[in-house]
Amino acid sequence: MKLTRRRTLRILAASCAVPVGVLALRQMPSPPQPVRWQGTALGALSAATLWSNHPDRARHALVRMQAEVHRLENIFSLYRTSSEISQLNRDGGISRPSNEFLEVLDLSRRIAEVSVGAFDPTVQPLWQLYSERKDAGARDIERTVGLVDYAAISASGRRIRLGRPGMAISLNGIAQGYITDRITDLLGNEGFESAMVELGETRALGSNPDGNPFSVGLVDPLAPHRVKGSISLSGNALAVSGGYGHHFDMSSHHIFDPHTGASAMELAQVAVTAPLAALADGLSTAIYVAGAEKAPDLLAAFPNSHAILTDHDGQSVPV
Amino acid sequence: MSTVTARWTVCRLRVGFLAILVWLAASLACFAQEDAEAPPLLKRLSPEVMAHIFPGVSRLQMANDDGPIAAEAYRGSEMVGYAFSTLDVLRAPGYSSTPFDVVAGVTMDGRISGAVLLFHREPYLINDRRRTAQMFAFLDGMSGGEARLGAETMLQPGFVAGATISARAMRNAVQEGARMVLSYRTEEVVVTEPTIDMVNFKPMDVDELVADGGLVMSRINNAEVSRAMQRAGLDDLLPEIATTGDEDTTYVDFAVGYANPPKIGRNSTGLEPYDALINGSPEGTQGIVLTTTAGVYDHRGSRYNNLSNGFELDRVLLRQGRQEFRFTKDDMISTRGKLADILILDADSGFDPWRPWQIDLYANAVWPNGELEPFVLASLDYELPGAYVLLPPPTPPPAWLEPWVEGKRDIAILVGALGVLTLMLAMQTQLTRYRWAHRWLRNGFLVFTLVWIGWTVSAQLSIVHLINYLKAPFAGLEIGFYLAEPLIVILSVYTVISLVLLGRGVFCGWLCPFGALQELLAQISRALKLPQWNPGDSIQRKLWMAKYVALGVILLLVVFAPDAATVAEEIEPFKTAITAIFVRGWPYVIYAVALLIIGLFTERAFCRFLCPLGAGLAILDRLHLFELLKRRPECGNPCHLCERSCPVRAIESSGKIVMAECFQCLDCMVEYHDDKRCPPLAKIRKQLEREAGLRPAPKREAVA
Repeated sequence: MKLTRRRTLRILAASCAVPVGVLALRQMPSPPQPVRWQGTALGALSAATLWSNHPDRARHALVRMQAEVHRLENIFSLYRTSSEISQLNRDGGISRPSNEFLEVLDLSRRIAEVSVGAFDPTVQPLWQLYSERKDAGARDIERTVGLVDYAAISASGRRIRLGRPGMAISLNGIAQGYITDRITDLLGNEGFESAMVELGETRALGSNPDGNPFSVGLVDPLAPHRVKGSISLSGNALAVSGGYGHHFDMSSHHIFDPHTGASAMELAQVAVTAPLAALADGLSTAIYVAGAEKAPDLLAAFPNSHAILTDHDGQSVPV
Repeated sequence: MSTVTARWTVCRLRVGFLAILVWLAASLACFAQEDAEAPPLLKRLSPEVMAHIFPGVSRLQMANDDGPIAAEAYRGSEMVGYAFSTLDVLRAPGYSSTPFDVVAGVTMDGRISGAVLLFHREPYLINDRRRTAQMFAFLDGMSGGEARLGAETMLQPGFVAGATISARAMRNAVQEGARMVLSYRTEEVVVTEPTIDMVNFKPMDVDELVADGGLVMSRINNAEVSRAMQRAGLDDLLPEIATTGDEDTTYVDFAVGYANPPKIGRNSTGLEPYDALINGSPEGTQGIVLTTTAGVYDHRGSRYNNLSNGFELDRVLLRQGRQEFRFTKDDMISTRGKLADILILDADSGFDPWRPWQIDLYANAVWPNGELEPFVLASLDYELPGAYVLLPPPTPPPAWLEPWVEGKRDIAILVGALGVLTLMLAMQTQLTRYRWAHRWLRNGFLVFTLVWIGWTVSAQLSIVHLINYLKAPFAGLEIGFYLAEPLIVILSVYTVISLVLLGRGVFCGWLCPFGALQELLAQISRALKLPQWNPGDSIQRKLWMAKYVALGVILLLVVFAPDAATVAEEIEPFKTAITAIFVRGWPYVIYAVALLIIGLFTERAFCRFLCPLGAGLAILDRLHLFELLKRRPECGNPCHLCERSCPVRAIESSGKIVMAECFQCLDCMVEYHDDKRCPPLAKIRKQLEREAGLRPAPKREAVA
């Protein structure tokens, strides 16, 4: 085939026509509209906002998202007796765990190791003790702390076993983040560019359709109905740990120090941003328990993670 | 021991003071409050009363719900419990049949905070200050006790000597009322299957219960008695219990019901008999309420007290289906002061509360010789009304259903389009005889596929769907996950069917929006006479393999590195070009545009050499059942017309069509039927024309 001048020009013109056509097509769709879903996941009030110029498509994706959340709850929910975690806690072992379960357990053990047990997935017996016995004494707590030891978990693709009778795990400090990640991936995988997923923890998919990062308000730990400051997210995740979520009584809340069995008290609030919500989730709990002093080392172990610590006087320090 | 004594002394002092104070209030209330209407609860909970039943409460507010009437008690802004009145909640009578009114408080953790008697008509308390003071002390001693029927109290009812029945009734009413007030608001009753309502309670009288079906009543007057005796053939005799008055005079008003729901059992008998049935009998015990409310006759009679009669309750017979239940005195829990009884059915009796049952009320006729002959006075049919059944919350329709309902119009359009496509494929012989018809219909359909299926409703099948379907048996993905997108489901099903019947080309050539985009661009390119380049046979065979490699890599990644798989899936430009209409990050857009430009010069280059979905379908293509594309012996040798006309070069030089690479565009069939271009046909045509001389032969018959 001979390349005449005329032919070359024609080829070039046709090749340029395609991108021009594509550019024109890009202008056609209406600007992205937000489509919002609200419901519950792992017992927490949840929401997801998806920007799309195909509202129908976004709605379908949100329906699929719910199916996926439901599937993951069947793995991680302590409220479902048939979930993998409930089986594990009941029987002390589980064979052929799902990949998802292993993945979360691995990450939680890694954070436990780095934080020297400040974050510990085996904290569940303490939680049970506090929620069932309002008058738990020092001896009960001491006995229960003996059951908290992440190193006593043995896990492989074939089997997960809890080393001591009475041990139980709770992935509540991390599973919500994991579900948030999975849903964000699902939406990204469906071709969506902008989404805000708030399934217990917060993760941004991309950034705002206008190109700016998402801005997430941070609750004032001293007055939980007020917003104090905000954090920018684009593509990354935010997890906030604070003792105001679930009170047993005035002196204990839902985040325990696995070493003492008491509720962690040093910080009022820890907000962590990280590339993954599961990581942010675990890190914020770990720092909340371990305290401000250990925070820099903990964060250094995981690239691109940052924290804002707030003490009980309302002083906030970025780390 | 000493602490108990100390506490008792303190209590005594307090009680003395209390008794004087409250006695005043109570006797006032006695006069002010006839048994008709009590003033609203908040009025009765005066500050003095509250100081005793719930010290430290600063504010009261009526609970705004359908539960047992109660007032929320606040200490500052914190809600600490409920205050309630036994009259509102239970309307329980004591020794007198007029219900008393004890107001009490219950804390959020289920402890009684105090109780005070506001009103009563108890004969052994009225005008007896000492006993009344003892009663106040007794009720005051309940504070701190559990809100549970039968819980320990500091003093025993015997403390109120001479009025123990009243004391017991009031204690029970406070304990049970407190439990009801609290449990309604703190325990959520959620049932998973229809369950008899053992939870809800409100005071109701017999008429109300008859009105809602909880009790079934038979009102029998003297005329009814005569008719019943006539029916039994005993019309010459007299009933054992003589009638009084005229025809219309009531002989007996008799009602029956299923005793276990508290609304029926507790209201028809009272707190204690009902408690004996529910808490004092073995698990699974059931009861039937019998109550006679008027008349000279009643359901008990007197013979059930006789040993000679075996203590049998000879006036009633319970029947359910073929089963008959008879009762003796031991099976009966009686209510003091009224003709209302609970007949006990043991857990193993075989009685089924869900099925209808009957009670026959018997009476006796007296023969002249004094012998008695029983006859059925009335037969009452009972079935538990729906109001006494708790239903599980209705399961919301599955989330995936909504897109199907909302998307009715789109589904109809797609199904219609698939119908048109099916018709075209089924009648391809007729269609491809007309070059222009094929061209217009095919291009029209491609435009529809691109613009509507692709850009409008985003129903682009992709490797992601294929992987999801493959994963489904292993990943425990829910059916809702797939059904959320009706159009994708319909397209998938159609693709599978067409794959099994005809081959992969039906989807790839007709229903893939990105494929349609490439083909339409290629048509423009050909119309502009742009140079076309196609690889030679051996290179093409190698390039074909590339898409299988792509598929293989993606499948491996899905299993071993799911995160990487989602990146690898981006080899498809579908999301960019179709679902997002190019509104995506620049790298994606540039990739898609590059593929489209390549497609200008090598038709459907992506489909033929790279598409992992196409590869998956091509593998399954080996299964297809029918070959609709026709061949002639001359195809391939010597004729290569179709081979050259195939836009995707899926026809080997031997003339064989490689179905795994065929897009079912039917271009070759157009050539096949063209008697000007297809050499064997042209030859026949010319021969026929020659034979016919000048007469033009009918062209088309030669084809068949």
